[in-house]
Amino acid sequence: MAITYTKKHQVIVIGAGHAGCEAALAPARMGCKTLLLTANIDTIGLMSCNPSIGGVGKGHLVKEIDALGGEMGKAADATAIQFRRLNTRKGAAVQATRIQADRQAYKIYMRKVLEAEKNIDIKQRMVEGFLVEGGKVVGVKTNLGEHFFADAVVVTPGTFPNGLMHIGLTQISAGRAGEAPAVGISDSFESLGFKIGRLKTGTPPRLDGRTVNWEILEVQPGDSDPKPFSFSNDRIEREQLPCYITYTNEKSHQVIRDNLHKSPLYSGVIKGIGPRYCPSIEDKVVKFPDKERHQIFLEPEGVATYEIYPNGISTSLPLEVQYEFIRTIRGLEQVEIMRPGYAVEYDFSDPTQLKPTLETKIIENLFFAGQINGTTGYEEAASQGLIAGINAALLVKGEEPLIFDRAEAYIGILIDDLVTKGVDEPYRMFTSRAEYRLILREDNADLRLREKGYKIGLVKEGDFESFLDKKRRIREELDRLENTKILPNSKFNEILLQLGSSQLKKPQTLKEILRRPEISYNELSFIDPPSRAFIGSDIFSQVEMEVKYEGYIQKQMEQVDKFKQIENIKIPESFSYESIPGLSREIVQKLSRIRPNSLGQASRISGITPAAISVLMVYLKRKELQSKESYSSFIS
Amino acid sequence: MAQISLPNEDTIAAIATPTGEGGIAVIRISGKNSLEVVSKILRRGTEESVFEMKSHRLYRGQVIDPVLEKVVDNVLCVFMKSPHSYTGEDVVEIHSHGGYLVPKKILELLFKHGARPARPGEFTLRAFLNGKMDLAQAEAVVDVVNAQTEEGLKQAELQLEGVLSEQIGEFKEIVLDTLAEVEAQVDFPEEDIDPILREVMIKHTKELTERIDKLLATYEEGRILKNGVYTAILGKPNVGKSSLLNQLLMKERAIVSPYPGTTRDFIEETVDVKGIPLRLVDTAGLRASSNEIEKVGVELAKKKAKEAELIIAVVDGSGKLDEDDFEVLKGIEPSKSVLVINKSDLTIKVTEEDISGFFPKERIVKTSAKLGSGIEELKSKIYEVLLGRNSRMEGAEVVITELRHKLALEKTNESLISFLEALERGESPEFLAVDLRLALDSLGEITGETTTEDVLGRIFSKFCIGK
Repeated sequence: MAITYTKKHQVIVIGAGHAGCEAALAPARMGCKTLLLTANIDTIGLMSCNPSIGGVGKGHLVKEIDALGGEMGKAADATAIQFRRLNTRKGAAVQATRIQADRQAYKIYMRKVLEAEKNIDIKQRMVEGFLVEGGKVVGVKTNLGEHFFADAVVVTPGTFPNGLMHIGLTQISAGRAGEAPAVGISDSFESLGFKIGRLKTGTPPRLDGRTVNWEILEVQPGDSDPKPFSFSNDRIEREQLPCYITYTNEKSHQVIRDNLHKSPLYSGVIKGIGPRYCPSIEDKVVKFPDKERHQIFLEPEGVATYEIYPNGISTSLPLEVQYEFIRTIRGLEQVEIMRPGYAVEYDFSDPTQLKPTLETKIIENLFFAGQINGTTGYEEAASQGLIAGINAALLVKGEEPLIFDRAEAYIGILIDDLVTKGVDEPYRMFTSRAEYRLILREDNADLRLREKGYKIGLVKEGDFESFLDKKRRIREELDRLENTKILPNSKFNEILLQLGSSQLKKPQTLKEILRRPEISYNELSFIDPPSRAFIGSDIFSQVEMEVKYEGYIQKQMEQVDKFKQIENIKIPESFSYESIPGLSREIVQKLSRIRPNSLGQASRISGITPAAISVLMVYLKRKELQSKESYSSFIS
Repeated sequence: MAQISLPNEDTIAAIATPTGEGGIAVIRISGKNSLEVVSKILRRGTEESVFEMKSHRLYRGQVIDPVLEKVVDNVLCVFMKSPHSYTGEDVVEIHSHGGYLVPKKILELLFKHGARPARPGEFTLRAFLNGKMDLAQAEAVVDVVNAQTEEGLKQAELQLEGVLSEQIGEFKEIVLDTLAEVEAQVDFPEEDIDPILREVMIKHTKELTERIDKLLATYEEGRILKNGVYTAILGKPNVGKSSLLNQLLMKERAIVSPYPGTTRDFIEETVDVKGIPLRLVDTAGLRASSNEIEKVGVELAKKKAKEAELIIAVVDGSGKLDEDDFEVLKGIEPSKSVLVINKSDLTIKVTEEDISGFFPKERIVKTSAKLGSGIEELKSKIYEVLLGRNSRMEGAEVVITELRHKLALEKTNESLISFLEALERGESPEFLAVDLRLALDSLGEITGETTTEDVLGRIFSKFCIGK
């Protein structure tokens, strides 16, 4: 007998991991009554894998989430125990932020933020299925027979759908160590007609820090001057903890090779596909036999625990083998394992079944986000959660959806890749996926996205004002550099020579001088003292990038213009490809399945030829003409 | 990603008339910058600029190679302002002399100055998209695009089976390898990977640019083998030019008579010389003539000689060289010519020494067109002049014959050189990647694109990534 929960919500979010948290916060902050259903309230915002957020590509995503008014960047800032800026010796476009978080603190922070949101109700329930009427989701049902109703539903179940854990040849049904899988939900996906596949991921064993010989290990400290993730934070004032580095060795590799037959990966037990860029230690040893050692980062799990996350040795070998090989590693000779490493297989839904809003094409008002779409990583999950949450809210409110293209945001690239190409291994963000990498930077995420976040009501007034102020200061500084002329004089020329730069022969603007490869703001300030004020400021990298790489950026902007032209030719959702005689059956099938929303997206579907795009262009034009004609016949 | 660009945004060009024999060729340029592109290579007879041409009027002008500052051809030119043109865009048509060489040269100049090759059916496609055709014509457009593309595809498939795509594939591998190194540095700064040395990257890339240069060098020869060589036979009247032509053709083609000046129009025939198709033009004899008709013929012959890619100059060996002979010899460029001392069946009065002041000895052949002697030697000399003693194609696995391929390879090398320069300047890897990706895109124009997945795949197979 069904129990109907009487309060009707506008948005229901299932799951409270990194996708679920953003998916619940966004609609709530946009004014929608939101219900967050999780199988376990104690694991809201849990980092199930390494206690770290950001990195190259991923850091870019976090900055974008923050610029749009999401929570992940703020949570990371609030709970980080180590900040590390990556690629600092490279250009601004690929510099990235990464933090080690205190796992417990992060979780607590997230729960607090969710509970502080008046529009969010949180309930611990196990969702088993969906209530669907006329092809539209209207609610969900739980394993206790309860029915919850809402206008839109966002599903973020992580690795729980039919989760199966492997430790050696032992298998345990679980979504995560110690937690039951979600079985009903996967069945309901299939019965609704979704195409389901299977992926695999894994984690390393967690170590007892009291049994690590720290003295002999290489220390990796955090940055002395940590830069926060969130555009709303100016500085970080907290003590930082170091990480440590050690390596596997030939002995460890021998132990692994000797025990491969006990590995579920190499004995054929695991069917799901794992990520190439996050291979287990078994994989590393087998696929790179010539490599003498593999690097391991020993990351602290938090301030209130000795537990250590050894990054780089994810494994599903039997526990006794885990012990044996780990104890061959320098500094870990006496180590105790607190939690065994394991691999987990789980169901995912082919993401080409989604629109770029992350709404499913099969069931209206139903959104998928996170690992269910075949991605891996907290940042990728949170990005999707945010976009699904925003679009669920916009849908409920009857407003235009929010979609980013590949030239606007990494979030746009992530979603476009998913819905256009699908996945055949867990999808992770890399900057090399970005065609326009030089303009999609961490430092300008706010310039790219703040305004959009503000418009939909996610970015707070104060944050938006300081953003406008920053924008103005960048403009002013660029103008100043352009309009300040330096006259040649012996003192300046002496300085320039010392810096290994050529002397001034005629007056040059500060901009022209800064453009010289050997001159940075620091050097510029010797000639022009006011420049000193900008070193390390929030607008510094913007300005330097704009000036120094004007040529490259110009080139990239031209590519973007070209990209936009074809991206802006929209294809109506109802467009029928079958009626086009010029297209091969294979191409019609592909187009009908993906249903691209623009000519640009169509061109990115694998196997779509330029000729097919030309034909499509002709028919879109024809349709446009027809509608004009019918309009004119209507008015005449 | 399929390479698409929208009508109106870029400027396309193609030869609109069938290649080959026509007296006139029309080169069509369409797109919003078509006047600007044309302005770079067209000089009008008057001082007025190209931009001042009125729509739908025919103007005289000269196509100039702006780099060499050389006149390529005298042409007629018409500008059709948007929307009153076939495509509905700004269209310029250049009416040049026909044949193979001149129109191709003009097209090449256009490509160098901002136009790109039109795809099959693209003019028609643009015409439709710009509303120049009604709905009923839409299907026809699709047919055109499809039919021509299918033909293009067939050709592409043939090419794919061939060695060229294998060669290009190898080039791509090398660029991809370098790109993987560069990208790995960007995306995986904390991984324990040993990047290859900068020197190695430079060495590999330099070697590749040299290989591409080598392949580019085959274009001329590849083109010669594919399309033939426009060859003029020159000489004063009655030195036996027509007999020589007949010997080469091995048939009576030209009217041979003992009276000087018999050949007044041009005879064009194709003859196979050691695998090279020579497109032979016999010309009127060159001499100072009072006969009006002959005068015109002589003028034309001189012009043909200028256009020709190969000149066979003929003198009568049985008489002393006179003013007319020297006039002929002065007018030709020895590097693209062979000199024939004909009538060796008679008593030879002309020695090689007489001529060596004008003409390198090794380019001189004695023949008797009447008896057919010396013809084989002449053929060998022709081969040598055209392809050299050591053909550049020997040792090259592949030959390129398509202009499109040549342009793509040139663009590839431009990007690779720009990459090397950026490397030299010590640019950060994300900038190096820009040029490498452009190089891959250009190679991709020949054999198909390289996707991000390919790049990532290469990174993961090269490096053990997995923090």
